[in-house]
Amino acid sequence: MRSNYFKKYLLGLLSVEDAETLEVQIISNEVSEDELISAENSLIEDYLCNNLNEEETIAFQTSFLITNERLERVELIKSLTQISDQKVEELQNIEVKPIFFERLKSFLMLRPLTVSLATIALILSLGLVWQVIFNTNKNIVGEELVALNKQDLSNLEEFKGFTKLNLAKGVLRSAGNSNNLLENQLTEKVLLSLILPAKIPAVEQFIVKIFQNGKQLQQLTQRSYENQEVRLLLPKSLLKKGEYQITLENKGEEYNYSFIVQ
Amino acid sequence: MDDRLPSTTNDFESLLSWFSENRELAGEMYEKIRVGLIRYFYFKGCKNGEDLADETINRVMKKLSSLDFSAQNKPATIFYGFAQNVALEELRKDKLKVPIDPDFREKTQDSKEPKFNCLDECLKNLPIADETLLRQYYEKSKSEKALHRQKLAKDNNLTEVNLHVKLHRLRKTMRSCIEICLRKKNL
Repeated sequence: MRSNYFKKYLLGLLSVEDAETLEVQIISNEVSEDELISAENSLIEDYLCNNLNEEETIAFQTSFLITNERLERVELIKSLTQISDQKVEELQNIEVKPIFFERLKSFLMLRPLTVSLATIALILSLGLVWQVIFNTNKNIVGEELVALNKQDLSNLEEFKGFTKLNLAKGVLRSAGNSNNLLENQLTEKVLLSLILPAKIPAVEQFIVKIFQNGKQLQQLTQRSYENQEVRLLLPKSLLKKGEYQITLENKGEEYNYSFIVQ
Repeated sequence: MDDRLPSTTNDFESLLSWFSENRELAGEMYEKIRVGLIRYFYFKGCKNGEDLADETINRVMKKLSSLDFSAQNKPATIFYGFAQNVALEELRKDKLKVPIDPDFREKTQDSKEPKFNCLDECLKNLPIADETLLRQYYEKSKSEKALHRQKLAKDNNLTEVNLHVKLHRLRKTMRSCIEICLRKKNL
């Protein structure tokens, strides 16, 4: 029932009063965003599959599909359907040729000891190479991070073109989508402002710990700015896809901040 | 006063004080309203919801002194009034120049088109599990779709609504990827 109501809203078929009430509820987080997303998705698919009645089809074309942004959303779903259908057709036309796998199987069965030893040696060497690369890289990023944050970050004008993210203390769930960064849109350096829960009377030093997916990546000391926040300049190389947590420690108090790189 | 001028720290402080005397609570309320505005602009069909949310907040901040704070006016209602104008302006700017082609649904896209190539490339750039999910989600004809999606949701330990949401996020990722891909191809 609710999804039908959302569908009418998206099609512009609700009364002005009902639409306004719903929109205020959207802003004040009183309606489920997930259900609205689901309703929009179904509406677009129903349109593409010719599943809307005449009134709805007209409303879709005159009230919903009116901006380039919405056209892009619809076109993407249309293309994905087309590309998936093509893939299925291709797969149905391909004759599976198992010769390569048959040969591999007989080779493995003939020389089990040689294959096992070679596999172990390969795994050990890859592990060693990975350790060397990972540790070297970690040290370089750590040095860069410390160097970046030694500079004075008080004049925000200097960082105008940078990707910026303001974080309030708390867990991800409460912050919604605003705590997300897109990996492929990050600038070379990213400026984080960690807002303190209360104003402090003077400049103070904080121990900053950065974690990715629960694993500590780096630690440094950073000062507060404008009596209300700690600023951090992060190199892009530190930010890979995943969940990040930052803790600030000062005088026995600990504040946690979270964000996601997608 | 010109609404396009950036707001000042004082405006921001006044806004937070308007939300609550408790700074932590005020910060949470600010975030909640901002997220709500981004959501509103998305469902209005606007692009760049984050920028539009910030623009709305800026406009509210500049008019704080003249606003009616009576009990009937919740913050969301006040922000909504400003957001409606911002959305109208944005929708006017982004309005389709030409009405949609009546045969739009039936027309198959040329798989040699750059946009289609980018789509294919971006699909391959996704983690394998996401790529498979996207392909599986869209692969069935409409008669089998409902059952197919139910099964897909069950196989992935998701409710059907959560499956839609997951796909919505994947499409968002795909759109950013396609945009970058087209930019690289200078289109």
